[in-house]
Amino acid sequence: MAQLVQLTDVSKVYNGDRQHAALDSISIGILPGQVTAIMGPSGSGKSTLLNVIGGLDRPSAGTVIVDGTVLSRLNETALARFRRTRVGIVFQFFNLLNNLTALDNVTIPAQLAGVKPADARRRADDLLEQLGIAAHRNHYPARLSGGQRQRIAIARALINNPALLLADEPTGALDSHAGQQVMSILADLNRSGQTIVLVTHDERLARANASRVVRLIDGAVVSDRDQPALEMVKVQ
Amino acid sequence: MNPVLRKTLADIRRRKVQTAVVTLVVFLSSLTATLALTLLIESDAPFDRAFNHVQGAHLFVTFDARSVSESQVSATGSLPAVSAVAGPWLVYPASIAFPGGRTRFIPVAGRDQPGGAVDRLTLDSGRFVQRLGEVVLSRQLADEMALGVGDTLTPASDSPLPALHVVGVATALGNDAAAWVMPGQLSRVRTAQYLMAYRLHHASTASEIAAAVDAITQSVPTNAVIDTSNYLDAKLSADRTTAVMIPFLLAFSVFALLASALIIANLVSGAVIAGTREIGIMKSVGFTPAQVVRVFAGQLLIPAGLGCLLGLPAGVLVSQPFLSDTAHAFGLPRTFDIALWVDLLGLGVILLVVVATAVLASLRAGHQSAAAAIAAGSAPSGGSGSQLAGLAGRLRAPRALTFGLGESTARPVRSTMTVVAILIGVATVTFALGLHESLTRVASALARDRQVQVQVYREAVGKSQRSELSEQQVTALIASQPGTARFTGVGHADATVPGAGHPVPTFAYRGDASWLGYVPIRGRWFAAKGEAVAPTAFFTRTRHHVGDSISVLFYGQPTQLTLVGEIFDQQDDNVILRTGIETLPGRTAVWNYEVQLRPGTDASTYAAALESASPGLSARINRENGTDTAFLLINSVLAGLALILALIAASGVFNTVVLNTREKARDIAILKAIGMTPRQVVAMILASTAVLGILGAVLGIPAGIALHRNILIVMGQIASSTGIPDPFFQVFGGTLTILLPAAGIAIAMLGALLPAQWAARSRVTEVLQTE
Repeated sequence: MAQLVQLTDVSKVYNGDRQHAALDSISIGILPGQVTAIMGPSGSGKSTLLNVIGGLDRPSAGTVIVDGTVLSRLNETALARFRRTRVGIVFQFFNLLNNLTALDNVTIPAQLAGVKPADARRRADDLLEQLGIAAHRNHYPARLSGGQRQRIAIARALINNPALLLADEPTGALDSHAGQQVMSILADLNRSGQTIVLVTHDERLARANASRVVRLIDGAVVSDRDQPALEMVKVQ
Repeated sequence: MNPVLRKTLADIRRRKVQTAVVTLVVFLSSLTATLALTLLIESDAPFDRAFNHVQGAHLFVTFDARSVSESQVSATGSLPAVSAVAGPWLVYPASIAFPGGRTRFIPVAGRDQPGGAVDRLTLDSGRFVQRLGEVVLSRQLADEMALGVGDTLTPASDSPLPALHVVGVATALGNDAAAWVMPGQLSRVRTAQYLMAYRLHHASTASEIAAAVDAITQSVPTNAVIDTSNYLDAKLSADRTTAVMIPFLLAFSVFALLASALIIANLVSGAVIAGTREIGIMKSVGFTPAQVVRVFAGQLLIPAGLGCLLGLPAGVLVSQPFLSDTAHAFGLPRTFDIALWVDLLGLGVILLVVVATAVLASLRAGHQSAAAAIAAGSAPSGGSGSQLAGLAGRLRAPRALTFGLGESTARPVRSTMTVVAILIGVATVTFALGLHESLTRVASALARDRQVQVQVYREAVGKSQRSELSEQQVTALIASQPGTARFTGVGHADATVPGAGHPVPTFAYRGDASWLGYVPIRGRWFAAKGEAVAPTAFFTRTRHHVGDSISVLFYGQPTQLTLVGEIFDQQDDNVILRTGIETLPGRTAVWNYEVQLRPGTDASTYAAALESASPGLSARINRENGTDTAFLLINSVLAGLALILALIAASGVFNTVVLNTREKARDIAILKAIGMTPRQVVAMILASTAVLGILGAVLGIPAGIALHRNILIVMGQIASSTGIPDPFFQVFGGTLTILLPAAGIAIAMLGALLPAQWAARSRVTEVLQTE
């Protein structure tokens, strides 16, 4: 099967400091439908790797191919379009726009992509319904709980049907109950075929949800193992 | 190092853009203030200052060289009434070839140096004459003949003078000489005269000057004195020009000072408000409110001080051509290069505005609790701005644009600051364009060049021949010229009017004169026998009003006049009357004609043809290019100032947009992360600023129009002896109404483009990581 994500000798250094590379010649591939957990201690390069895959950051060296697109060939505008349509990104601290309602937050990527407002709203409403937060569609983020905000962020990430969902510590800012709910949603999404790359430093979460665990230390891959079976967390 | 100073310097280093903008705005404001103050000084009694500066002559006397010797003329300098003299200079009425083939006699004086005890000449360009064959032209003659340094003054074919090389252009207070050559240049000419310049012990009234003239006349042989002129006439003439222009200069200078102060206040308070969160953090680590205020005042005062230090010399430097232009427009010599104490005072006021605004703005935040300040300085979390954002999101337009529209009012205080900056810019442009248009109309009304292109005199002005044609013959001659569209004959008489204080010059027109271009301030142009119009000064002096019937004397005969209109007019001291010739008793002859040419007729050719048809006539062209040079110069001065003010306003917008985008960095990074392209980011920021630009224009245009009207009225009352006709205020129509909103948006876009591009280029991961 063709890889959805293919990284070849990807390095990332800041300020020319090659001795302390954030990513050091990483080569990995990710198959469609996989849930891949990227693990490692703080400063190991997990988020940098996710940013490089998501086109938020450019590698200093190496090649990144996502869904057939060679990211290094894209200019800033093309990269933005790539982020808008091919990937969805969920952040640890939600990164919602505080002065827009939940519904408006979710519809923005679709509208930026030129989807008609009515179609975008219909799709957003479906997602909010599916994620159990339709009742909060007209609320501003400041009035929502952390779990609710993260579900809005997931809805926003999915609005353009991306091939790849990137989640950077999606439960890091949530209590355990809300965290379990969010992981359950991600698991459901994966069951329906969504490829997910998950950054976490939570061993239990990775073991329970990922079909593959890649471990990083000092920007280098130190282990890359598939997991035979998953123990999916159920929504309570 | 003191923690307050350490924090202040650290903030200056960290906030490079803010520091640069404050420095730039204060630099430009200091420059503008220096210019405005310079113009204010220049506009204060310009003739009197110029007169003192060049040791102007109270009296010029021209002697016939055939009747009096040079030593006899020199001896008049010892008369008791005389305090100082210069001269005698040999003067020769030289015949000069003018454009169009006409010739004119101009007084050429032999003078070997521009200085002296009395009547010093001010060189505007080039140098003074040093050898034979060179000439220095008066500013007026140089303008009239369009000659400058390096050109040649060509004598008429019958002149004994050779072609003269123009080496300089000078301004003189008197007009008794129009050009200067080395004395030896005139040694072989006949019919020469001596010109002597006197300063008198007592010369404040015409009678004191007349007494001195008598004493001089009696000290030389009979008929030796052939002409005199005094500074009161020159002052009247100069004041007539300056009186109309000074209100405009004063108005713009006052406006420039106010606008500069407002923009600085806006900029500084914006910078402090943007630092509210920082103030909260400072307080949370132990800074007292007073220390907070000192940090903010310091970080703004240091760049502001630098801006002032750079702005003062730059202002002095830039004001030099402005001073030259203004002096040139006034027809007076330049009297100063720098007014240091006034400039320093201006800079002191600017620094005071910076400190006062910084202190006032930071006091509020300084006295908030730390938590409240941090919360107030953080990104907004809903509310009316958010609802507007939601509404905008439903518009059928690209999402980046609607997002920008919604964002425009998300921060009401910041948005207000931006609107104020744009408002000032738009009001400036409105005010400047209005002033420009008003001034153009004033110039056109004074020159009346659209109505009258040629003036014909039945006397040979500056010529040796005398007209021998009767009024009927001259009328027939003008009517027979193919280029004549229409014309009116003008007769002259003096009227005795109670309260006028002196005989009132009266201009009496034969036939329809309503087309001549005198703009009514009140009432209408005269239409029947016994009706008359007059300028404002006539009504002020005689305390009459439009509609009054008055009894006046013409040639000793009582005549009843009805004053039907007050007109915009600058003639003599403005205490004059204009009426129909049939109103005057007896037979008043027409002495000159006002001629309107058919479209496409060349005025020079027309005038030359008329003169060659009857050598005794003089035909003069009425203001060559449509607008008087003086008004063009003043307009260029105002345009320069307006440009600088618009630049300052754009800098204000730039600053508020920089602050906005810095605060919205997180939101912009999120939007980029979810797929907003750099172009969409730029469009979003420009859209949000465009809304404020439109709002600023909507508020700034009426503000500018109101300022234009009110400042002009006030300044007109202070500085000028004439009312201003309503059409000179009604300048905001047609093109301007399209241009002005465009100016608001242009100022907003100009200020916002760079920060928008910076935001578009910002790195998503860096911004989100620093959250």
